[in-house]
Amino acid sequence: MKNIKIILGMMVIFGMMSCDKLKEPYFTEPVVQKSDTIALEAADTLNFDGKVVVLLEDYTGVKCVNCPGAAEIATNLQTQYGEHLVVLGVHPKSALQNPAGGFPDFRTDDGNEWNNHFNISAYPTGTVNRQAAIGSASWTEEVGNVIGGNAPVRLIVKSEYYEATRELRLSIHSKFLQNVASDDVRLTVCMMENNIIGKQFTPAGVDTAYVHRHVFRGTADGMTWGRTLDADAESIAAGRNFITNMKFNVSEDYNADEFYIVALITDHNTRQVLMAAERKIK
Amino acid sequence: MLGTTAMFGQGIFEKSKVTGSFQIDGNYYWEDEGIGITEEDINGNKFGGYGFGKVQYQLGNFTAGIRFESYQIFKMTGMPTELNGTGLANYFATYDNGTIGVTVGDIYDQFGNGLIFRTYEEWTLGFDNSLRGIRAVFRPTEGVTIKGLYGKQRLYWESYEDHGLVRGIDGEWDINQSVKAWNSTKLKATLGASFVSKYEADKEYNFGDNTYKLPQNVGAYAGRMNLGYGRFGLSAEYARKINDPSAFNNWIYRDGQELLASLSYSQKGLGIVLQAKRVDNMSFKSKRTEEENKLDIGFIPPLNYTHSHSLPSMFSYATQPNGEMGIQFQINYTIPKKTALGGKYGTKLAFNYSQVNDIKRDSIMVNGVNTMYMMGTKGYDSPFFAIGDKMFYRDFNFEIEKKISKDWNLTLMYINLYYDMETIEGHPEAEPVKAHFAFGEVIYKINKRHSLRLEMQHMWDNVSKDQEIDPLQEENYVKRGNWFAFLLEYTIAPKWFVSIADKYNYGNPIADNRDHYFTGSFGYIKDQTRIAISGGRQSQGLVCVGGVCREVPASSGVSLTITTSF
Repeated sequence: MKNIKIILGMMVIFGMMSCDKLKEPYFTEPVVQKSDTIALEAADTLNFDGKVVVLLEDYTGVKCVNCPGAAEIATNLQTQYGEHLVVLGVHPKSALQNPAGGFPDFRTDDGNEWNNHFNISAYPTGTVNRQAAIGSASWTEEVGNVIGGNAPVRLIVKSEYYEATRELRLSIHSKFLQNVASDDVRLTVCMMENNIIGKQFTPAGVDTAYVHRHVFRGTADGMTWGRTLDADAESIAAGRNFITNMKFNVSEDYNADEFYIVALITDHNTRQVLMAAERKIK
Repeated sequence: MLGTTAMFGQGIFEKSKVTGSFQIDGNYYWEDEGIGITEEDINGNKFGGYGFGKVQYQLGNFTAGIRFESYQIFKMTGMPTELNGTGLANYFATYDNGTIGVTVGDIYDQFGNGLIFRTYEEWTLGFDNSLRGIRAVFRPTEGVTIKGLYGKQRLYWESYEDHGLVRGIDGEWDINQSVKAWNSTKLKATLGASFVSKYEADKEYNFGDNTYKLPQNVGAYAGRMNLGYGRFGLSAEYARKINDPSAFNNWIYRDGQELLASLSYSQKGLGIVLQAKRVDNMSFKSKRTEEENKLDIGFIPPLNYTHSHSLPSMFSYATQPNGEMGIQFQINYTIPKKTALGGKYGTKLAFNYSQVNDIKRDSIMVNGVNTMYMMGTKGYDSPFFAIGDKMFYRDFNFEIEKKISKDWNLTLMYINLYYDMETIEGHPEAEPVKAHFAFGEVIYKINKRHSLRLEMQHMWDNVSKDQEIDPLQEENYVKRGNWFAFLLEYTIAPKWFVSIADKYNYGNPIADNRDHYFTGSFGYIKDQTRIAISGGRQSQGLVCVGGVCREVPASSGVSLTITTSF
């Protein structure tokens, strides 16, 4: 009889573990709507110098003592390389990002999934163009290695922002300058908010008025790893043009004056970022 | 030392038991313009064949077996062409000492009536959903059996890699065996419960602009009982399955449920069975994008009379996992010997009534939108006891079997059939079949070894010869209209038989379809070996086993079947 009780208990546990009961809604509609194209102007293409724009992702946390030091490295690199470097401060979902105690909540599902993909469990850690996860001590060298290369894609983000309704319209123009031998080339559209003042752990204790830079606020269209540009293509040939249009309302939670769109062209098979672009909406 | 080894070796051989069976089906096809088979249909593929060999080895508590299969088939063969290929389709090893049993390899098993788990193989359908994995059986005390298993299911020769993982556990308690006080009671009771879960890795599915959530783990559970009291028997099983959006149910998230119940009475010369079932959204597959009956984990038992005669068997019922409610009533009575009606040898009477309807579905309105079967919603509501208006199938038939004299035996049967071709065969807008059938069979024993059998059938269809057919709907009238069929068989027991038969669709509304389907067969049986050759025409139709059906095209040719076992 004792055996049977154990077995019945095991059956119940097994049953509970093996059912994923979902709740409504069972689907999510696209968070962005279709929109009209915002055309490129002559200045947009004239300003493009043909060099690659590199992405530095800073996996960080509000309760991570050493993270402000890493953020400073990122800011210095951006000062050095200007528009050829885009920084995203990514807050995943470990204890170090937990807002309990009046800390700001910068956690995102997208950031958490990126974090899990790269198996990051210690902070600060970063990736340069989504290659291996590396400690902040190596960022300067790694960014230096890739900066200055030729851009495989000319990536330009055009935007129109309507203050009264907070509607943001985007047209992201990607023109391939080189052949890209991948059957899954994607465009990821990220939201980023700069200069947010809030609590942060530092080596000197809690700073209640810390300036959080380059805070990743999630993907604009809810597509964590981006949208495939041409699902039928085995590769993308040089000369091909893609225009991706969308519109959405910028959440009241974000400061539109410090709001940016960061666009990324990636090879989804390797996750490598081929080209990045940044646009301040105001 | 050598002597010991030799003795040990000899012992093993003496205790070992090897069994097996082989079957080879060969076909040769030819063009037959009369039934629309052109050179293009055959496309040079005149020879086809398929076969298997199964060998099982047993030594004490240990059993191991393999099954090798080979297929060289075409559309004309009426088997799924994905089976083409050759290989080891099934292998397993089992150790079972009565208390504990373990099997590794390809497993065939079922929990209860199979509602949430049944793996089986059906050669005539080319169906095999065996589970490649591990099974453990534990019998802690007399009358208690607990089974646990996991693995991935077979689909033709496809890699097992992308199939979902199936895990299941089942417990059965035979109270009369395990409780001493119940050992000899009149009431017999067995209780059982099972739980099955499948795992698929995808968490999301993108369709159009929307992203649909997917359950990675879909659980199904069932409870059952079998009660017997004297001549009465009552058995029931209820199963439920949580949200399982799939291509089969148009990605709706409603829970599935199924009830199967049976009440029976039997005594010498009389048997009565009443059965009922309700199926609601119970397609349960280990890959959610599969259709038809591919990778089915659960099985829906059919509650219909299985017709073996060639005309009514063209209209066999296929169970509807998305929803059906059915009943069946069967009564068998033998009028005793040496009575006025029974005559010298007694008379057997059988009556069967079965009907299957759709379930009733009510719309769920969300923000003023009717979400009936809408992807990404609950799909519909369905009151448990309400029967849907649409009838899928109804059959009532009556059979008399009478031995007239020492040498003569007569069987007569009447069948009244309603067959919703649109649902069962998936032919949109097809007119339902409302047909009557008459069947008669006479067997004459010429002497101890020689006998002659004559079978005559007629079908009266509601579609008449003169009905005008929309040219776009011709596909739905291939086997409609009246039919006549006969079969004459001569048997020399126990080794030889020869037969000729014809089916004639003389009442087809399309003149080109008024075809004869002549066949001739010849067979030889010796011990465990059977060789049969048949030639002629095969009509288009459904081949069904246990409510699972496959459509076979019309063909013309010769086939050879050899089966043997040892």
